[in-house]
This record gives sequence, C-alpha cells and structure tokens, in this order.
Amino acid sequence: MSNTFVDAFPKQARLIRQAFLTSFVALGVGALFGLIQALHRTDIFRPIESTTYYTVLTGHGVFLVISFTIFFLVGVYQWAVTESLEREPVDMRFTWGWYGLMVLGTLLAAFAILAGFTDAIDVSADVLFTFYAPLQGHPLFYIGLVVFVVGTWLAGADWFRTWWAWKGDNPGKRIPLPTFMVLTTMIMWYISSIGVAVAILAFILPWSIGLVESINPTLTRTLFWYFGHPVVYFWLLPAYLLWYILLPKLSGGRLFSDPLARVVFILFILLSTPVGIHHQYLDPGIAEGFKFIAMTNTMFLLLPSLLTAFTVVASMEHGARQRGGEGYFGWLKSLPWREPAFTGMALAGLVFAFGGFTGIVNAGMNINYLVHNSLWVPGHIHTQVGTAVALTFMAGSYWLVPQLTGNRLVGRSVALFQVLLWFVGIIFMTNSMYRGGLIGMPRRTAEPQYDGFDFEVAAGSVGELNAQLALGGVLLFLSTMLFLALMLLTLFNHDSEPIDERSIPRPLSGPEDSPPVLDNLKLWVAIAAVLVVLAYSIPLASIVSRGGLFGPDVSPFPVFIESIGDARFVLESILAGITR
Amino acid sequence: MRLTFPRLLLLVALLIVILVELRTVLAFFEIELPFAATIAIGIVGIVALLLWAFLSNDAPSER
Amino acid sequence: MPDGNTHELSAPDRTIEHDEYDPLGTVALILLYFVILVLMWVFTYFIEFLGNDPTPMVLVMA
Ligand code: HEM
Ligand SMILES: [Cu+2]
Repeated sequence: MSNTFVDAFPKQARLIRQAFLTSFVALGVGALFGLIQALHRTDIFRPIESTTYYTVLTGHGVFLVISFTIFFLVGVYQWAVTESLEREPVDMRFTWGWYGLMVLGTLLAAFAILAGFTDAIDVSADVLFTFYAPLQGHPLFYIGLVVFVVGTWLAGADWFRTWWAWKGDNPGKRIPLPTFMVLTTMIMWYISSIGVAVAILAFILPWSIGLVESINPTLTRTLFWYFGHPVVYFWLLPAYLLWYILLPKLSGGRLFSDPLARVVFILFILLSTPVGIHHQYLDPGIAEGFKFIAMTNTMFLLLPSLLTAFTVVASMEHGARQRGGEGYFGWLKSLPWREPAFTGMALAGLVFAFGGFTGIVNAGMNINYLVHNSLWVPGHIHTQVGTAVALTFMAGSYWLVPQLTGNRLVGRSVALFQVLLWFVGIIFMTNSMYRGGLIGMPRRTAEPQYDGFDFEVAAGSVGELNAQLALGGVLLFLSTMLFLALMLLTLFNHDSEPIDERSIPRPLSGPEDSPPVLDNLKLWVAIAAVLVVLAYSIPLASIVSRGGLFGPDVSPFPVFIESIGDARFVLESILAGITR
Repeated sequence: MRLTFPRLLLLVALLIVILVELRTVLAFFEIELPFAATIAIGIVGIVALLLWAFLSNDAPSER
Repeated sequence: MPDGNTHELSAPDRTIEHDEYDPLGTVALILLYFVILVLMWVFTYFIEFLGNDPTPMVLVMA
C-alpha cells in the first residue's frame, strides 16, 4: 500500500516516531522496575536493598504514568490532528520546540530519580510519583516536572493553532472528530494541570530549594489531587481516541455515532476535575461534606465511560455484521481476532470494564476505607492505566508504527501472542493484588511481612498470593520486551509495505446529526470553570485558613539515602509518642 | 483443525483467565480449590481444548 | 502470492447502513455486563459488610 501516513506527511511521521521512541524507552525502563518490585516485595528475589526499593518505585511510577503515557499521547494526538485536518502545524520549529521541552523535563526528573541509586551524586528524589510533602526530593525533580508540563501546554497550543488555521480556510465546518477529541482533552488538561503547577511553583519548589521553611501538606496534597484525577483521563482519552477512531475500522466497520463521541469528551471536560477529593477520603482536615460532593460527582463520571462502552461495542458489532456475523452473541466470532491491533484493544476494553467495577469500590466513601493504601490500589492501577491504556497503546502501535515508518509489522503472530501474554499476566498479577489488598496487605512497601503477625488469607495462602503476583509480573515483563523487540524490528524492516492504508471510514451517524452547540468549546470551558469553583473554593479556603498557606510549621522530610537513619529516628519517636 | 491457530491461542488465554477469576469467586462461596488442583484443572482444560480443536477434519472456519 | 501475513483489514462482505443496523448484540452484551456488575455488588455487600464484625464500641488501651 502506498497510501500510508508517512507518504502523506513525512515530517509529521518523523516527529511522531520520535515521540513514540521516547515513550517506549520509558516503557522499557518502567517495566524492568516493575519486575524488580514484583520480585522484591514478594521476597522471591531481592537484588537491591529495601531502601532502594523506593527509588525503583518512584521511577516505575514516573516513567510509566508520566513519560510513557504522555509521550505516546502527544504522538497519537499529532497523528490525529494532522490526519483529520489534512494539515501540518503552522510552524514546525515550534512543534519540535515543545517536544524538546518535554524531553528536557523528563531528563531532569529522571536524573534526579536515578541519582538515588548511587551515593556518588548527592541527589535523589525518592518521593514516589505523588511527591506528597513533607517527603522532599531534589529541586531538579520538580523543575523537570514543570518543564515537562509546560512542554505539554505548548503542544496543546500548537494543536489549537493548527485548528485555527484550518478554521480560517474552512469557515462554518464542523470540527473533525479526532481534532475535537484532541482539543477537548487539552482543555481538560489546561484546567487541571494548573493545580499541580501551583503546588510545585508556589509551594514545593521554593520549599525544596530552601526559600521557605515550611509547607502545608494538606494544601499541596489537595492541589495534587485536583490534578491527579484528571490526569488519569489524560492517560485514558488517547486510548479512547484509538477505540473510537481506529477500532471500528479494524473491526471492519464504522463508528456508530460521532455525536455520542463528542458528548463523551465534553462530559470529561466538565466532570473530571471536581472529583479529585475522592483520593483524599481518608485525609484529615477536609470536611466530610466536601468528600461527599466529590463522591457524587465521581458517580456521574461513570456516565461517559458507559456511553463509550456502548458506542465502541456497537461499532465493533457493526464491523462484525458487515463481515457476516449473526445472532446475539454469535457476531463476536466474526471479529478479526488474528489481528493483534484489534485483539489487544478489545481485551484492553474488556479488562477496563471489569477494572471499572473496582473503581466504583474505590469511589465509595465507606468502602474506600477497606481498600485505601492497600495492595488493592495498585491492582486497580494496573487494570486501568496499566492495561486499558498501556495495552491499547501497544496494540495501537501495531497499526500506527507501520503507518509512521512505511514498513510492514514484523511478526504479526508473535504480536498476537504478546497481547495475549499481557492479558494473562495482568490477570495473574492484579487478581493477587486485589486479594492481597482485601486482607490488608499494604502498597508501597518493600517488605510487607511482619514479625508476630500473619495476614488472614480468605482463600489460599500468602505464599500463593506472592507466587501469583510474581508470576504475573514476569509474564508482563516478557510481554513488554516482546513488544519492544517487534517495534525495533519493524523500524528496520525496510523494503516492505504496511498491509493497510491510512484512511479512516466515516461514521454511521456523522457530525451533521448533532447540534452545533457541541462544538462551542468556550461554553464548555465556562461551565467547567463554574463546577471547579463550586467543588474546590470552600475546601481550599478552609484548608488555608486552618493550616496557613505555608503550613503549621511542618519541616521537610528529605528522602536522601543518608537520612534513613533520621527517618528511623523520626518514626521511632512518633511511635513512642503513640504508645506512651 | 476446527479452529485457526490465533483463535486457539485466544481461547487458551481466556480459559486461563476465567480459571484464575473463577477460583477467587468460588473461594468466596467457601469452595476452595487448592493450588495444585487449579493447575491440574487448567492443564486438563487446555488439553481438552487442543484435542477438540485438532481431532477433527473440518477445514478451519476462518471467520 | 498468498502471504500469510497479508490480509485486508477492513474488507467487509457487505455494507450495512445506519438505518438497517440495530446493535442488538451490543445491547445483549451490555445487559450481561450489568448483571455481572450487580452480582459483584451483592458480593461486596456480603463479603465486606456481613463478613466483618462491627467496629468495637470500647477500645481497650494497653
Ligand atoms: C512490566 C509490567 C509491570 C509490573 C511487573 C508492575 C509491577 C508493579 C508492582 C509490583 C507495583 C506495586 C509496588 C508497591 O506498591 O509496593 C506497581 C505499582 C505501580 N505500577 Fe506497575 N507494573 C507493571 C507495569 C505498569 C504499567 C504499564 C503501568 C502504567 C502505565 C504501571 C503503573 C504503576 C503505578 C502508577 C504504580 C503505583 C506506584 C506507587 O505506588 O507510587 N505499572 N507496579
Ligand atoms: Cu480519581
């Protein structure tokens, strides 16, 4: 096929390849760290010291949920905008500029994290990806994060600019759906990432440099989670984009409804921010009433995901019926299961649907107490971002990377095996995590075994849970390595052609069936702003009035290797205080 | 071959997944499958599936 | 030359337009999903609430 994306837009393809490359490097390192964790915390193989575990865990969190996901996002979004507007950025230097900023930010943060492995450099940032104060990392870590986020802001500005230019040439036309998805995601991102920017620039960075003495941990946590929930949609929405745009085509059909897809993305602008407090149900210093509001909003937020389930499955069914499928369930047999891009995405969606249930458990204020900070939470994380998103990205790459390189995917059957291996691995690992969490095993713990205490396992034994977790981790790691190998081979598979061309079939029900108000982005921004103010102004005001902007004299708890002694001292004195 | 190879792989994966989750569900009903028994059931299931798939002369039903 | 690696991704046997398509299979799948969700909720109730003792009323300090 000669009608590939790289034929049409070689310069864009080059940028997107670069973004994917960065993303995949992060995936590889993150997966290695994941393997170390899975073996370490189950006490199967402990090649590192337990204090180093937290350096690894910080790297795992940051590289996977910041670098891997977001670099992939900018790649996919650059593809979506270019493809659907049939247009290049106004100024390509600007485009490379934001990509460069994102890389720079990543390198700074990665340096601060990885330096924690050696005593030779007096830098470390073992603060985990949530960097809760008073844990304190090296300033470079925070500076890196800020530079990275600014890069993403400029990326959004670039896509808006391309769209404005397009609008000038196409007055009165509806925004093409993929571009609509990109713009709405970025609006959500602008609204929400302000929270983390303020947390870092106004409080955490000055405090880690030493400009201010103290910090209000409740305030910075609340600002973090103001951003921390929407960020999960920042991971998820590019996966949704692939489900809405690519999956119908791969199934042999067409998107069921363009208007429904628009409604879904608008709901995310409106609802994804005023819910962040649901991560703080157990935080002292926030009134129950605000937590209740956050819970209610969260339950509404299920709506767009249920709409997505309907639209995406209906599009797949359309494909199956066009391919001759029959019956209420029989049509499932007519789907192209031998195609790894399809199968990976379909399984990712399946895991997402059931992981969604565990999300409802997390979101319930009362049941949350059962699972909070237990291993259940990484279970949830790995079914959602760790599979619904990660597996969709890998599967999507099996279609996208040939389009971006002009080369045929190497090892299509191996690729199918790879996505199935991920599916099996994730079930082993998360099933164990969920069960472990229910019996109270803690997350973020290098050695979750205690003298004189045994977990009451509902079924089986701790040893068995551990074995299952480690086995799952090994399978996931192998699957990741297979994926990376296939990508590398495809990159060098010159003198071949992709099996598919770049066109995307038009939806069954197109934009002309939807009211134009859906495209009125200013309106949605305004409503979203009102909701955010309603949900956050009073809680923030009460946190500040109680604890002060810079806190009730909380001194830092630097996470340097040398200070482990201090840490032990602090813990012991706290414990002494409690038992006294 | 009653099934194409990709479909066979998919079914094996689904079988393993259902087995792992079903064991958890059964445990809540106080039916506890021991570890070894689970593995045995898994192997028997997969072998049965393979036999069913291979021991037939039908042409693979692609689609 | 038939190449095992090649096939048309989107080669529908027939085209079905919007008017002639009712996603009944989707409805069936989603109903099934809801039934499973309800069962899981019932589980949650039995396991986590009926299965555990109430919070103790009196704390004994050592
Ligand atoms: C190679 C496959 C992977 C393995 C073996 C693995 C293993 C683990 C383990 C064992 C933990 C729990 C650590 C603890 O709480 O003590 C964990 C945490 C986590 N994983 Fe993974 N993981 C993998 C892939 C992923 C992917 C693909 C993502 C996301 C895209 C991800 C995101 C996370 C996050 C956000 C946490 C929580 C970090 C924290 O508590 O600070 N993991 N992982
Ligand atoms: Cu959340």
